[in-house]
Amino acid sequence: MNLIPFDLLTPLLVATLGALWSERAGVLNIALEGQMLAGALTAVLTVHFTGNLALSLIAALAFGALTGLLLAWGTLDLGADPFIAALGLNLFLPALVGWVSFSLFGNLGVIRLGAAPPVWFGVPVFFLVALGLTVATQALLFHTPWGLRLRAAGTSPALMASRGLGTKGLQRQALGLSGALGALGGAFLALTLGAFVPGISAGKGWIALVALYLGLRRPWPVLAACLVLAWTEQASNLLQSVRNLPSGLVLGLPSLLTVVVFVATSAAKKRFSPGTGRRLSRGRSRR
Amino acid sequence: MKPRSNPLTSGVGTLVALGLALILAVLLLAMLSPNPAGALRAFFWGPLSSGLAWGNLLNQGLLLTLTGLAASLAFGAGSFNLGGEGQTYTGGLAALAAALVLPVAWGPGGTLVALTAGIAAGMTLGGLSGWLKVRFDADEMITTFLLSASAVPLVDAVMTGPGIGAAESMLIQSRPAPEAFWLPGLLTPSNFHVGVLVALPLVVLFGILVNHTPWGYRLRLMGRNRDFARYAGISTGFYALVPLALSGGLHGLAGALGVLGTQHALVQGFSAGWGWNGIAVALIARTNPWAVVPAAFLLAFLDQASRTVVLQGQFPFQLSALFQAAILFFITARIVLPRFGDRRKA
Repeated sequence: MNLIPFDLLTPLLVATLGALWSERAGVLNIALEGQMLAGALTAVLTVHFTGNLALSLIAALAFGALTGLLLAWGTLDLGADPFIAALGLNLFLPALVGWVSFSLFGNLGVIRLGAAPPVWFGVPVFFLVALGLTVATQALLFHTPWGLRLRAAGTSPALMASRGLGTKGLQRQALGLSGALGALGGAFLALTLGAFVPGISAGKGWIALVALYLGLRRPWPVLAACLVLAWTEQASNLLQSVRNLPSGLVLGLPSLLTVVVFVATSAAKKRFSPGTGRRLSRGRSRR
Repeated sequence: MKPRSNPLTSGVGTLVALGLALILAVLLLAMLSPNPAGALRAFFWGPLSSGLAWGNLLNQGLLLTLTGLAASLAFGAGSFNLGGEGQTYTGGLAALAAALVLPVAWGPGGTLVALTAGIAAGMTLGGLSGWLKVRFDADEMITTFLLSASAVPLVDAVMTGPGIGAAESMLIQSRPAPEAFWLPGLLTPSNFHVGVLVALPLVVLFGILVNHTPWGYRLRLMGRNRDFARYAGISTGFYALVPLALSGGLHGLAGALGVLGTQHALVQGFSAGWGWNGIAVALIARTNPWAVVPAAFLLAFLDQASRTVVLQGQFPFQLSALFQAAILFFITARIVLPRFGDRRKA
């Protein structure tokens, strides 16, 4: 039992920051689950072939950004529904990951690494990076003109248009950044474990969306929400091993928790914005 | 989904998405298979090469007709049901539970009750999302997906639990349903059985309901423009909830048919992909119930084809996931003539 379960907290925090960037720009990225998985494999492969940890993180970031830009191309340029296109990506990435690991290693199984991730005075360096990203997100999103425009693209595209500013470029940047952070979260997950395991993301990309809403869509509360969820996960891991609970319950719990949180936020939104009766911030093509 | 003014261009857009997916598959087969000619032959001829293959193709086509009809009904009313996977799986569980509890002497009557139980289970799951939408304004796209994602591991847990789990089996599965409740098989030993034939009258029923009744007119109006539907005095709550409940019910029926007709037990992951493929079918058919049948058989063919290729060792991994992915990614896109479409200013 760790007071701060760094290993559970770090990947979730980074992925949630990815979700935060996209949500604030009005294009919630739900492909994080697939992007985490892809990032995990990218990082493990890079370490396997080059032995360079920093390079593996850069590779994961780059591949993640690429998937984010692919999603942006589908939704912003081709006008696909963001949710459906992201689900397509979530189906595509595991298939791609399975194929790559199969053709390189001849199985769909575990790829082990020897190296352990660096630790600085008992604190994993990955966590410090995640903390730095939280600070950077807060600074960039809330204290720069670019961040202001990006948030305006999410909340009031009409205002942006009236100022002669487009939203598409900003949303594309947000989706690219979001994908990069999702993949980085996956890279942290795999490098901490020291191995790639099929299905390593195990719903973390979806839990990131819970953390986003629990964390009121702001960086510091998001950090607190991630900590709470990491404690919950640690507790449920313990519960599973100690009391022999059915694993289905433990596996289904994150999604169930997300529904409850999502319904609660929707209900609150409905109560606080009477007369609108629907969400305003979504740049969806339907309705 | 935004209604398209020109049915011709939207149809072409669908064909382009399908064509892209097909080209992607053929390219992958040609480039990555050790034996491209054999792989292509297996891909295009495999699903039609034997009675067994035909039976599996018909079975899957009709099941996808059901789940496609289910997804299409919700789309038509402007609701996205992304929970088909969980609704199907839960329907299978409910049907099996009913079959295990009912006295064997009921025979075909018991089969009907078990099927009804499957429908009711899916309906509950779909209707719950509809209710959350009406009551709390919670986006049904997200709640259907997440409720389904939490239902799947729960069904997995129940399946092996006390009273249901099989004592000795290589697969993770439940005890078999009593043979008295099995639906008679066709073209054995394929997966085909009489139960899935119910998809055809259901298509006719919903085709008439949606296209030729006042109820269907109001439903389509909801799908086109919810604000106008409200202005026209249509009960938007009712038409938001009922299509989702019906959609869930049809998914549940598909799951129940799979259990009573093909598996005869609840096998872990037996319905995996049915829900997603149903969505792909509905996106191809564009909410028109009549178009669901050809779209379903097209996808069933693609799925069987990619299975044949993988089974014959011509290709290292499941192509069908790539198909679904490519179709989902491109199908809602405005690919055709983007310059003349309603592109927003960058």
